[in-house]
Amino acid sequence: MNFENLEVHLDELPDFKSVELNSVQKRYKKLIWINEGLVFILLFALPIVAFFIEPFPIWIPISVLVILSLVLALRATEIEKGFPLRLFGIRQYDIIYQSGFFYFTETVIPYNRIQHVEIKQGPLSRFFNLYSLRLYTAGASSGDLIIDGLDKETAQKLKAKVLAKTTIIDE
Amino acid sequence: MSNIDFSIPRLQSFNGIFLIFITDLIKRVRQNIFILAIPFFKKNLLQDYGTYIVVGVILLVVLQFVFSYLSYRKFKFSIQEDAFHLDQGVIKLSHVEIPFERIQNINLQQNFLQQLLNVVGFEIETAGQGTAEIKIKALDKDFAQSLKDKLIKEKELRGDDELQILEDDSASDSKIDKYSTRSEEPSLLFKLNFITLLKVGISSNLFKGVGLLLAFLAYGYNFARDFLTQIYDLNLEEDFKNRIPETLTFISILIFGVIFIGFFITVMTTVLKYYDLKITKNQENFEVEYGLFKRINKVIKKVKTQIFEIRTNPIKKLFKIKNIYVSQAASNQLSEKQKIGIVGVSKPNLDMLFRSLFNVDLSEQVYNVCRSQARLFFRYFYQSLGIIIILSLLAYAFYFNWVSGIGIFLLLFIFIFLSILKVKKSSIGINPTFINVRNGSIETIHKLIEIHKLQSVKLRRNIFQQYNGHADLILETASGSLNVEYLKVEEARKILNYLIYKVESTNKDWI
Repeated sequence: MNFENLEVHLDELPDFKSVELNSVQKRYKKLIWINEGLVFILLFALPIVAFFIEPFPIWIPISVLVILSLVLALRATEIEKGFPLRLFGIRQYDIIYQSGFFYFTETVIPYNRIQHVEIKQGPLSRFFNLYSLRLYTAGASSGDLIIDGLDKETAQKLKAKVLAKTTIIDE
Repeated sequence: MSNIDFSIPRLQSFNGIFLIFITDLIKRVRQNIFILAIPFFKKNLLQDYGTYIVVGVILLVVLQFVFSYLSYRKFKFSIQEDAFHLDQGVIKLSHVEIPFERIQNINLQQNFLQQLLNVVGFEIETAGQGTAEIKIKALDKDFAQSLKDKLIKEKELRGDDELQILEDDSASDSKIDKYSTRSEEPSLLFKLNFITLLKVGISSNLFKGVGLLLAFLAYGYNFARDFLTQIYDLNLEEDFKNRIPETLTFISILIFGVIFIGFFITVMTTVLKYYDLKITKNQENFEVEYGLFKRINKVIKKVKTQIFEIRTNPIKKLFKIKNIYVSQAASNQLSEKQKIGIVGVSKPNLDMLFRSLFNVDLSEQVYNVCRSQARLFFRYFYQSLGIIIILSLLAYAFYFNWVSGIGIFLLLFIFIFLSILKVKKSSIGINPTFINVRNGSIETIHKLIEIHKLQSVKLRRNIFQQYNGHADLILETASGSLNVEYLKVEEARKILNYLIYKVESTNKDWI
C-alpha cells in the first residue's frame, strides 16, 4: 500500500528506530534473578514436599516439577535474552522504551501526553540502590510506562527532562 | 432557577432510607446466598433449629436496617463556595471535596427501584485518577435537576474566571460568543421510534440472548439437580441421560428452540434497554437518555469523547441502521457497558452526530488503509483449535457419539469461517486528523479516533512475528487501548512514526 494525502512524506519523518538507546543498570539483572529465584524456590518446594507425603500418587509431584522446570527455562531465556533488549531513549518530544524477548514491545510516549512522573524504590531495589521511573498517561494503566533498574542520577535526570517538557506545553 | 440554598448540608430524600436498605439487603443476600441456602438442603437443620434461624435472620435484617438508617443519616452533602462537599460513613467517616472545575460529568439515572420510590440517582464523575467519584442514591427529581444545574453553573463561572485572567485582551468578543451559545435552548437532536428500536433488537447479535438463556438453563439445571438429589434422593444425572432420545428431530427441535427463545430474549432486552432513546443538544454537550425500567441519562462531552464506534452487520444494512458507541475519557479500560450507546441511527443522523462532535464531515474522510496480513489467520485458528480440543476431550470423556462428533466438526468450520472474516476485516486507516480501526467478524466495527487524542503508541512483536516480519500496533487512548494485529513491520513502523509526529506537532490537547 502507499500512503497519500498525509501532508508530509512518510520517509522524511524522524524514525524512532534511528535513536541511540541506553541500557539500564547491569546490576538490575541480579535483582530480577533474586526476585524470580524466591518465587521459584517456593514453587519448587511444594511438589518436593509432596513427594514425602503418602496420599499423593507419585505422578502428581513429578508432572508439577516438569511443568515448573519448563516455566523456569522459559523465564530464564526471557531474563537472559531479554535483558540486553531493555533499552530507553529520549528524543526532543518523546521518550522511547523497548523490552521483552518473547514479546518484544517498543513504546513511544510524547512528553505532552504525560500526566505525572514518579520515582519509586522497592525494598529490594533499595539494597541495590536502584530506582524505577513510572510515567503516567491519562486513561487505563496499560498506557503507563515503567522503566525499572535506573540509578538515581539517571532517574532524576529523566524525570526533570520529562517534567520540563510537560510544563512548557501546559503554559 | 429555583432558589434552594445548597450550602446547608443536606440528607438524601426520605425515601432514600428504604432504597439504601433494600439495596444493602439485596447485596447481603447475594453475598451470602450459599449460607442462606443451607437450611433448604439440610432438612433436619430447619426442623431442629428453625426458631433460632428465623430469629437470627430477623435480627440480621433489623441490624441491617439500623445500619442503613445510620448511613442515611451520616450521608450529607452541600455546596460550599469552592467545591462540592460530601460526608459519609457510619464507622469509617470520610469527607470528599470536589472542586467545581474537576467535575467532568453529572449523570442522573433511575433504576427500577428508584422509579418505584420516585427518586433519582445522582453521579458526579471526575477525570484523572478516578477515586473521587460521587454517587448519591436517592434525590427528589426536581432537587437533583436543580443541583445539577447549580453545579454546572458554578463550574462554568469558574471556567469563565480563568478565561478572563488568561485572555484579558480578547475578553470582550469571546465573551459575547460564550453568552450567545449559552442562551441556546436545549434542542432535541434525535429520537428513536419504536419500530426502529424493534429493528435494532432484531438485528442485534442473537448469541447474547442465547448465551443468557444457556447460562440461565445451566444455572437452573444445577440448582434443580442439587435440590432434587438432596430431597428425593434420586440421581437426576443418570435419569436425564437415559431419557434423552438420540434422535435428530429432538436435537434439531432443541437447537431451534434455544435459538428462537434466545432471539426473543435479545429483542426484549434491547427494547427494554434502549426504550425511548433521546439525544438532546445542550450547548456544547449531548445528553443521551434511554431505558424503560432503568432510565439512564448520560452526557457526551465534546472534548471528552475519545473513541467513536460505528457498528453494522448484514441485517442492520438491510434495515439501513447503524449503532454508535461513544467512549469518553476514563481512568480505566472502558467496558462495553460504560460506552454510551446510540442505537438504530440512520445514515443522515450518523453524519449529523459525527459533524456535531468533530466539526467535520464523516463522508469526506478518506483513509490510507493498511490491512492485517493473512498470517493473522493462524493466530485465530490456533485459538479456536484450543477450544475445539478442550471440547473434544470433554465430549470424549462424557458423551461421545456421532452427534457430538458432527457438532464439533461443524463448530470447527464455523470458527475457521469467522477467523477468515476477522482477518479480512482487520485494518487500520489513517488520514491527517483521524484513525479508523476496523475489525469484527459478521459484524463490522469501525473505531474512529482523532490522532491528537492518542496517549502513546506501541509496537509489539512476539517471537514468531520477529522472524516473519510482522508487528501488532497498539494505540493507547484515555478510554482504553486498540490493537491492530499483524501489520507488516515496516508499515507499522511508518504509521507509528507518523502518528507520533502528528501528536507532537499539534497543540491540541487530548481533553
